[in-house]
Amino acid sequence: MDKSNNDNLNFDDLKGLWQSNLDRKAMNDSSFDNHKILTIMQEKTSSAVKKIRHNMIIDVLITIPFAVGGYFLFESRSIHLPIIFWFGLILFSISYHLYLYWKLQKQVVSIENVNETIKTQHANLIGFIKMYDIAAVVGGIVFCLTSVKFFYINCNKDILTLTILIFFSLASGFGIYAFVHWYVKKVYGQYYSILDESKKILERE
Amino acid sequence: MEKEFLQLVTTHKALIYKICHTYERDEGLRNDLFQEIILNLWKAFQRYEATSKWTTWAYKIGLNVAITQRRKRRISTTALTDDFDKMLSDTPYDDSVEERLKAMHEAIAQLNAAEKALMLLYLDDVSYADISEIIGITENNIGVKLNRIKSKLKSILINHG
Repeated sequence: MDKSNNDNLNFDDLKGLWQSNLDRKAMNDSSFDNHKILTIMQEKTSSAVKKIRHNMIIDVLITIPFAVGGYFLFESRSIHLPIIFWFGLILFSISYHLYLYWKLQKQVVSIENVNETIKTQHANLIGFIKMYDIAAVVGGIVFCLTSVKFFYINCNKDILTLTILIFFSLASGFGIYAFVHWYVKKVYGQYYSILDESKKILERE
Repeated sequence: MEKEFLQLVTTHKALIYKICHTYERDEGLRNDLFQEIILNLWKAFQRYEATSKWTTWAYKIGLNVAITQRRKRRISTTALTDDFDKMLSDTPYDDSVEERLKAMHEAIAQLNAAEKALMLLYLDDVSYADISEIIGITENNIGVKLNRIKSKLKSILINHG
């Protein structure tokens, strides 16, 4: 479409064309076959919930190696306090996922207006992301403290070795935090942007 | 109840079709969205009380599903163009009209989810009172937002002209 056409672009004129074009297409669309619709009506779970379930299974599968690895690391060094923190964290994470999935399965369809629904979903998603962030920070700190303690017990205590080991521990702790943060951003980042942008547009006067 | 629901869906299939085509250009994702909308309408229909118009009620649910249910986006500009070509291929309009419709569809695809909802309702000639009920903003605010969206669409069209 060239610039002169755009300058004269009249949306009211296009309304009628747009409506008749899509109305006609809808009339001929095979998706509206009664048998197909009846099949969909008998489904218990929507594809969106199935995808969220898939993500949750991945989350739990990622958590398990951390739980097992953490246990052997801490247990073999007789470091008991981090074990309690570590398993508390893992237990909390898995319980939260199970609770969220149960909530999704039971979720009543929103018949609120779009603005209210976006606000609710936005708040729920922020809560979910915060949970991950807290888990990332706690996981990073536990890993860092454990490494420092382990190296302090097992290595020569000259300044250079200790400095290198503290640096390594901090880097490892930060690595754990960065990984979880990256993972959450990758999985939920796009969805968060959509909700956040929509919320801002609807709130703007 | 099933028969009544099927009857309503058949009568208002254009409404569902328009939401699906406005929000998803990829055929697979569009089918997912279609299924989600039908399933959610059906679940909600069991509690539906005819206090509001069926179309207003169905728009609320359909748009809520389209905006808030997370699907993987994997659409490229090429796929968009191909899809519009396919969609308009048997349109009995002359080239300039077809070109204008196609350009408008491409521009709408670049809008944010909330803007798409407002534009869809505007193009479908839904009254400001009903848009206000569906979206949850005041009637005065609708006019302001629609003007902003139209300006944005024009600038998208000019930039991509």
